[in-house]
Amino acid sequence: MDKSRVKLVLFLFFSLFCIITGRMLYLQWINQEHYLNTAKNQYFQSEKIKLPRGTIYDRNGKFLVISVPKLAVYVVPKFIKNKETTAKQLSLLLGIPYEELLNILNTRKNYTVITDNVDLELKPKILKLRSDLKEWNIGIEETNIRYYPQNEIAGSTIGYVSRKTGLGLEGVEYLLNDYLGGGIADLIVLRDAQGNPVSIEKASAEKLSYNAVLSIDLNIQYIAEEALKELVVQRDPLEASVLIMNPKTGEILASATYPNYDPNYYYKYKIRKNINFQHAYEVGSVAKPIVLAEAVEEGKVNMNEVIDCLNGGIEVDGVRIRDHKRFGLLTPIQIIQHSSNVGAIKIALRLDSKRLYDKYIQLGFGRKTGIFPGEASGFLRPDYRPVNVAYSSIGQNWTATPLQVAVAYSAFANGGYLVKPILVKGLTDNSGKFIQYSQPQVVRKVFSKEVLDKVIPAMIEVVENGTAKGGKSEFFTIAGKTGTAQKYDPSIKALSNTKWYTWFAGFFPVSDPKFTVVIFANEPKPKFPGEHIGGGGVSADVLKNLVDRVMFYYKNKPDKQPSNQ
Amino acid sequence: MIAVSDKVVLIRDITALIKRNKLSLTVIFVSLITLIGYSHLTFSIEKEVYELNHTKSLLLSKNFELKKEITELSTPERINTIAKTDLGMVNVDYRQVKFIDVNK
Repeated sequence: MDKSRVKLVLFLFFSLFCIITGRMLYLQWINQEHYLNTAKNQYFQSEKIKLPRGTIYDRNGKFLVISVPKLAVYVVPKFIKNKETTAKQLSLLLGIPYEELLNILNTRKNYTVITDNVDLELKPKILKLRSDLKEWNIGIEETNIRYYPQNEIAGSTIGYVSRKTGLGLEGVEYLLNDYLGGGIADLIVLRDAQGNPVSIEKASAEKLSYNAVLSIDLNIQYIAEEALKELVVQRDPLEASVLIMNPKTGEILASATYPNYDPNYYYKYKIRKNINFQHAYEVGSVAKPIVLAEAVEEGKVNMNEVIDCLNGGIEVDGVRIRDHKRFGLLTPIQIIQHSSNVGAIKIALRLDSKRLYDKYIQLGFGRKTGIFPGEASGFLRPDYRPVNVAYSSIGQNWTATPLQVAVAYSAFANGGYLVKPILVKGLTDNSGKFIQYSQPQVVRKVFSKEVLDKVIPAMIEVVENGTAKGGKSEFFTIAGKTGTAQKYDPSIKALSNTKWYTWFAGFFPVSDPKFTVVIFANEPKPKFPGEHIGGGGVSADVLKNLVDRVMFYYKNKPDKQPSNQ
Repeated sequence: MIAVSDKVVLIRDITALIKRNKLSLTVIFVSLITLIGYSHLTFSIEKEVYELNHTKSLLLSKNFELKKEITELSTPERINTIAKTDLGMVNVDYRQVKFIDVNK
């Protein structure tokens, strides 16, 4: 054999071997990452999906919020070859107007979600359509729609979930983000040659997903919302609210607010606050029973004594504070019944001012209860000068949320205990078993029995014969106190004589208190020209609409004999 | 060009090679078939799992749709409207309520 030919063949083999080895090194080592990614991109695709979120129930197991699995259909218009046909076919399949789809395809360029509310059953049809049209830039993603079946009912309390991130942004939805789950997950999906998903290869860490049970009773909530609606129609206030609470357990049974919103369409509303928890206002005369209670406790008042209410005004530290009427001689009960400012100030000025402020603080004023995100703490700064003590006794220089007022008044109703309010009763797993439960919690004792025995009759008189008599029930005894606080008017740099906060805080039935109720309105308008605006008048119709309905719902027997029976 | 005798020699050599490595070749061939079969089986199982998951999510979706429907039908607002407008019911008047003490 020719040696040179053998050498030539050997050289060719060797060169070929070197080329192949070099290429292998290039592919496997030098440019390994690039080719790995290319291969991955051909078979694996990263998808972001909205994770399902736990259900929220009311205290009786009725749905307040559910997550419904849906499909989101998206397009990348710049890569769609035949826009007219695509729009036409998608329109027929999804029930979206052809013009709307064509407009999206013609005006947008990049990734655009056409709709996120498509039934999962349509998935094979959409995939087939994509394959038939060979428009590979039509895509689908599995998603979850957060649905609020009660619409506006308890809307501001429940809050809402962001349509983009799938996480709670307000209310209970925000409060329970760590427990309800939701949010966005990254999935790595293995696809076949046609681009159809075959299996989920990797999912980002799964979140906890429990269900929540609120203390809200949907039916009581509805009754409260109905009563509030009537107040809004009659009085056209800037804001208003009704809060109902179980005074013994602290469970919030209803929280109705105006303005309110439908969480299904949260993005259409400008105001999405819950004023029962997130705003604080001057409480006005609602503070007076607290002053009387402290006076009884300190032994600074005799319930049978007569106090001169000075015919309508008192001067403290050179500041003249007026009454809403010219009162003469009144007993402490009558001072509460008719809500005399002068009478309340005279009692307050007898007290140890530090102890009076301590009482406000013990009742939970000036501090957040911690049950709602973005809760207001209210303003309460102890200032022991007589004029400030005087103003504090008529609720004009400190503020509180309706929730704080409800908690304080619950102490009058439950035998003198400050209870921690409860909004979330517990968390359950998917089998319905409670994995976390909010037990009623007594924070401290704030009123003695002796104090309550003397103050509650005054609060009953308020509703039976006093400032709140317009709202009394024929069948149930209600105890409470009205409040009317002047608003600060920046234009005159003084307290306004035309703009008011009005309150009613009380509980019923007095024989065995089951409900604490707070009714609040910001700048309610008079029903007729010249009407005197006051907490009693504004809340009268709400009380009338509320008490009998709520008591009948709980099948409670009247504790009062009706006058005409 | 390879001569006919060379071809015969090549075929003879290959046959000898196969005969000599019969066992190894059989093992390689069987392993290859098993690997392909296993891969196919895994693929079809994964596909089935995916399809079952899809069916599960479809059923879950239907379940939630039904829950949604039940809730819509039982909202207090709807019941109240039906009671008042269709059935002519009114809010409670305690004068018309009789309480019976069942313990007596």
